[in-house]
Amino acid sequence: MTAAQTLRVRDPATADQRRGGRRRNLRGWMFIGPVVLGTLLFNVIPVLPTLVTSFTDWDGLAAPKFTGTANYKEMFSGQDPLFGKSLINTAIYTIGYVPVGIIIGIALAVLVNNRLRGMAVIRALIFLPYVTSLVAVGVVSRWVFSDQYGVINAVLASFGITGPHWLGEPGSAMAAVIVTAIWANMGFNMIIVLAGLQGVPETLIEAATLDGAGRFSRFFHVTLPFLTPTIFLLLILQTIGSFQVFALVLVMTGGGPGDGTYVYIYHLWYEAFSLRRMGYASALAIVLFVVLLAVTWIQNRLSKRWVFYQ
Amino acid sequence: MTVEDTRAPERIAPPRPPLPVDDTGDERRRRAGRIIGPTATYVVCVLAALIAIGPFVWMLSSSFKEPGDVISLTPHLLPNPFTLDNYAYLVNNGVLPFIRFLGNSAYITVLVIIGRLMVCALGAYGFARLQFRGRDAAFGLLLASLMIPDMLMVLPLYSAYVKAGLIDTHFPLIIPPIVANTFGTFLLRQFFMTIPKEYDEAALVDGASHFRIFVSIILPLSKPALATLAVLTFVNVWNDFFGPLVYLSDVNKFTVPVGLAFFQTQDSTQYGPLMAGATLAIIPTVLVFVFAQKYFTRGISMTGIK
Repeated sequence: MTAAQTLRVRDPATADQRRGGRRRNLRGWMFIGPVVLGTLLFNVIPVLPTLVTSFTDWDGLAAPKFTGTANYKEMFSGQDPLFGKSLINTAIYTIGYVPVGIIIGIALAVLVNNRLRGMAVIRALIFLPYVTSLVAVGVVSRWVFSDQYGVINAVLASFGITGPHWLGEPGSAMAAVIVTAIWANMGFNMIIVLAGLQGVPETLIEAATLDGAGRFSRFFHVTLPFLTPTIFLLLILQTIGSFQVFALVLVMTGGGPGDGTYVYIYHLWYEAFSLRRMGYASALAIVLFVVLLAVTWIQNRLSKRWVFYQ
Repeated sequence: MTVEDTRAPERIAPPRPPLPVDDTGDERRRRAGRIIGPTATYVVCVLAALIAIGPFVWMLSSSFKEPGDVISLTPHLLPNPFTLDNYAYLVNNGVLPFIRFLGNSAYITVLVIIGRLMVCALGAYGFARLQFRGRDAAFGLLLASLMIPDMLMVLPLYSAYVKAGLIDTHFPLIIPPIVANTFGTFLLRQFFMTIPKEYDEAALVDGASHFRIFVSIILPLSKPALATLAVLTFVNVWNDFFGPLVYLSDVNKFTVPVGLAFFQTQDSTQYGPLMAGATLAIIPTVLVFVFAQKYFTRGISMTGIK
C-alpha cells in the first residue's frame, strides 16, 4: 500500500492523472446530477422554509410576518380544539387499522403460501385492491356503506337486521374508513409477509414436526419468530402511512360526520388551502414530522424486546 | 392472471428421501406457516379473493345498470337491462369533462414514466458503477430525503409555484416526480450492482465510453428492473390524488382521481355515473397489473427488503 502510494507520488504522470480524476468526477456527476439536483430542489431544500414559516403568520403569498412561537402555542394551549381532535382521530385510526391490517396480512400470506393449484390467481385477486385508486375505492366504499342503498345493510336486512347509518355516526364512520383501508391494503401486507415467509428455514419446521409439535405450535413457535423482522417493517411503514391518511377520509366522509373522522392531514390541508393559514399549517407539518420521528423511535426501542433477527 | 411465486427456488432444497404418499400432504403441511388442510385452505382463500374483488365486481355491474336498477332494494348481479347511459353521462354532461380527465392522467403518467426511467437509470448507473468524489455523500443525501414526509415540502413548493405562475399547470405533477425520485434510483442501483463488472471492463478495453456502456450494455440487461419501476410509477402517478388536489383548480386540468372526487362532491347520489367513473379510474391500473403482475410483486417485495 505505502509502496504503491510512493510510487504514484513519484509518477511523472500525476498531473495528468489529476486531470483524469477531475474528468472522472465530472463524468460521475453528469450521471447522478439530475436526480441529486432534483431531490435537493424538490425534496430537501423546501424543508427549511417550512421550518421558518412555522414561526410566522403567512398566507402563502405576501411576506411572512414573524410571530415567534405563536403557532405552536395555539396548538398546545388548546386554542385550536381541532388540532387535538384530529390527533386523537388519527391515533384511533392508526390503532384500529395497523394491527388488524398486519394480522390479516399474516393470515392471508400463510394461507396462500403453498403450491396448491390456482393459488397464483388467488394471490393476484387479493392484491388487486392495492393497485386501485383510493378515490375510486372511497367512492365505491361510500356506496357499500350507504344506509339505504348499501350492500352491507342490504345483506343485514336479509337477515332481518336493520343496519346502522354507517357514515352518519362518528364511531361507525371511523369504523367504515378503517375497514375500507384494511381491505384496500391487505394485498400489500400479504405480499410483504409472503416474502418474509421464504426466510423461515424449512429444516426447523421439519425438526419441530419430528419433535411432535402441532400445526399451531409450529406456527407460533417457529414461523412467527422468524417473521418478526417483517412484522416490524410493516408496523413502521403502516404507522407512518396511517398518520398521513387523507384521500380515503376526504372521499368517504369529508372528515365528518361532525368532526368524527377529521384526521391530522385533513386539518393541515384545511388550514393551508381553505383558510390560507400557511404559517400555522407549516407548524402542523413540523409537529407531524416530530410525532412520526418519536413514534418510530419508540417502536424501534420496543422492537428490541420482540423482534428476532437470525 | 398469476402472481409470481416469491418462494425460494426448488434447487436450494436438498434432495429428500421420498415421503410416504399422503393426500393431506405431510410435506406440504410442513411448509412454513401451514396450519390448515388443503380443502379448508381453498375455502378460506376463495372467500378472501371474493371479499377482495367483490366491491369491484359490484361497481362494474352497477356501472351498466339503469338508475332505478342501481339502487334496487333487491339487488342482482347482472345488469338487466344493460345500458351504457352512465358512461354516456360521464362523456356528455358538459360540467365534468371526464374524457379530458382521462387524457390528462394518461399524458402525465406517460411523461413521468419516460422521464423517471431516464433520470433514475442515469443516476443509478453513476451510483452503482462509477467512482468519483462526492458520490457517497450524494447517496447519503438521497437516503436521508426518503425519510422526510411530503407534507414538509408541500407548502413552500405551493407558494413557489404560485409565484412562478405554475399553479393550474401540470408542471408540479410532471417535473418533480421525474427528477426527484429517490426510490426508483435505489431500485435500479440495486439491480445494476448485480450485473457483472466484467462486461463494462471488456467494453472499456474496447474503447467504449461509460455512456455507451450504460446505453448498450446495462440498460438492455436491466429490462426487468426498468419494467418494475415503470409499472410502480404508472400506478403511483395514475392514482395520485394529493398533488392534483392541491395544485389544480381548473376543472379542465383535472386528472381522473380529483375529477372523480369532485364529481362526488357535486352529486353523491348519482351512483350509476359514479360507478362508471370509478370503473374508468380503476381499469388502466388493473390492466397494467394483470399483464405485469410479476414486476409488481417483485417491486413491492423489494420495498420490504430495501
